[in-house]
Amino acid sequence: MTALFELLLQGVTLGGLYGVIGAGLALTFGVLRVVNLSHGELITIGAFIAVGVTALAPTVPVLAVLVLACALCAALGGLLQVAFVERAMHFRDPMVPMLVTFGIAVILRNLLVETAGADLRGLNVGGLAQASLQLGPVIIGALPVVTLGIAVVVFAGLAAVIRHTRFGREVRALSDRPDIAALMGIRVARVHVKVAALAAGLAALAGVLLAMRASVSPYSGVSYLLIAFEVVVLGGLGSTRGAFAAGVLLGVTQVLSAWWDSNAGLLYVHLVFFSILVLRAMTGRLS
Amino acid sequence: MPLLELSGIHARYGEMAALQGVDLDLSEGETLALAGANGAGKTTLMRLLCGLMPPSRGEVRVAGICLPPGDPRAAAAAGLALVPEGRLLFDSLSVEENLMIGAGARAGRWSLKAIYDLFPVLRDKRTQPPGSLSGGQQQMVAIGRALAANPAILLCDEISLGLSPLVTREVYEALKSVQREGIALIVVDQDVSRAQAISDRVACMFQGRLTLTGPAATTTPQAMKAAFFGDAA
Repeated sequence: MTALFELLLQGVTLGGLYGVIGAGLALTFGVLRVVNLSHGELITIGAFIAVGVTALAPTVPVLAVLVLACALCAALGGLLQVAFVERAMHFRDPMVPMLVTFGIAVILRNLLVETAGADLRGLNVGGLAQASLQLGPVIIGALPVVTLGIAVVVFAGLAAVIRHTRFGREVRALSDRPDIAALMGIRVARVHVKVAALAAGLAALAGVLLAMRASVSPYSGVSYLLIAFEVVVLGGLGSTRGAFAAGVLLGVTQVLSAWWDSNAGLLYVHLVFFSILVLRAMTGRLS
Repeated sequence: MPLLELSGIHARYGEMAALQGVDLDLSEGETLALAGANGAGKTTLMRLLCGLMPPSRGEVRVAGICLPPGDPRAAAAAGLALVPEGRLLFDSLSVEENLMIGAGARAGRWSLKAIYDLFPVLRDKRTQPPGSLSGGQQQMVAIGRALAANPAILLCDEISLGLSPLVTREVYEALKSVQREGIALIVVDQDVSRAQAISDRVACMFQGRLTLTGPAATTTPQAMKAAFFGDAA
């Protein structure tokens, strides 16, 4: 029973991370109506910025590295929105911005290989990686708990911003009815840039948290994008709260299935995703 | 100088011409009832006026200043606000957030308090999502949302669509209060006679053209009917 509880707890901590992986994509889709295929690359860039900064200045605290990676990635996301995606959004066909983000993903991935090499990298967090917490009979790693704590704080903060700020109201209005939102005097393009920057910052956060737990390569973006898509589709298109819940579901599935079948990897995660899609299709609730 | 001037307005949806040379003006504080069958171009004209679509030819002037085509922010800043057909409220926002979202486009008297004074029933519903309100209350939110931008010209598209006669009467009473504040109105309503009753002038469209404009008090139902079906009076 204790072992099962430990597994569930591990699953929840992993799920928090998956939620963060999907949150930026959910935001981009919900507000911009753009399927951002470069989201995975933004995650890896966030990880590589953190790894690079730590290599150059090992004494910089991890938290400062995390904030710097998020800020730089947010600036990159905003810049890409202004330079490419916003222009592509003027076309009526949603394929145009999607293909633009695909192109951006390819360029970013290759730039990363050229500048950082194709090796696997991880972020050294010192003793935190090995530290563990004892909660009664349950023992759990400190790093996953910290990851979950950060995810919970980020999701709570995101919810508060969306719920209580003018920016949040504008985001919700744009998500509901973009044309009528423009009528209300909302600076649509400016909100788009802020959302793209926020989404890229969340991607970087996910990247740094991933690099703390495992190794990341410039080619990891595609697999992160797949997880992000599953989180977004399960959680409801555009819902950040749903992204967190879906992340937890997939995280718990992965940890439980690894206990059952240690070679399964993400197989059961994808199977659960597929099963829920089939179930939704059968009950007519695909969208 | 008229408050609003449209000269030689053409608009297209792809190959289809939706507006074909519309010339129209509106004075400060004036109310115009705009009639026409479905597809005559009324909604297109409303959308064009508030910048939701650009004209393919022609220009819109507010107080003598030409509006940039297809720029809703510029239209809002110039004083044009739309109560759209079907209300189109923001479902993720509460009633009060819907009312606040457009506030600040221009300075004026339409504060949140003034809107609640006009529609007292909304005061108790301020925290609710608009989807939980009746059709009439939703229309009040839509009117309040447009008023919050302190417009000089309020565009009301299909103002009584789907409303009961009792609620329609309430909505028209509110529009009279808006008139008393000196706001110009363009009212589109399937019930032409009701819109005509509160208007200074009437206009009728047929296949993207204006087929009639005249004083509301003296334009006969026969003349309206003829214009409605494309026969110029």
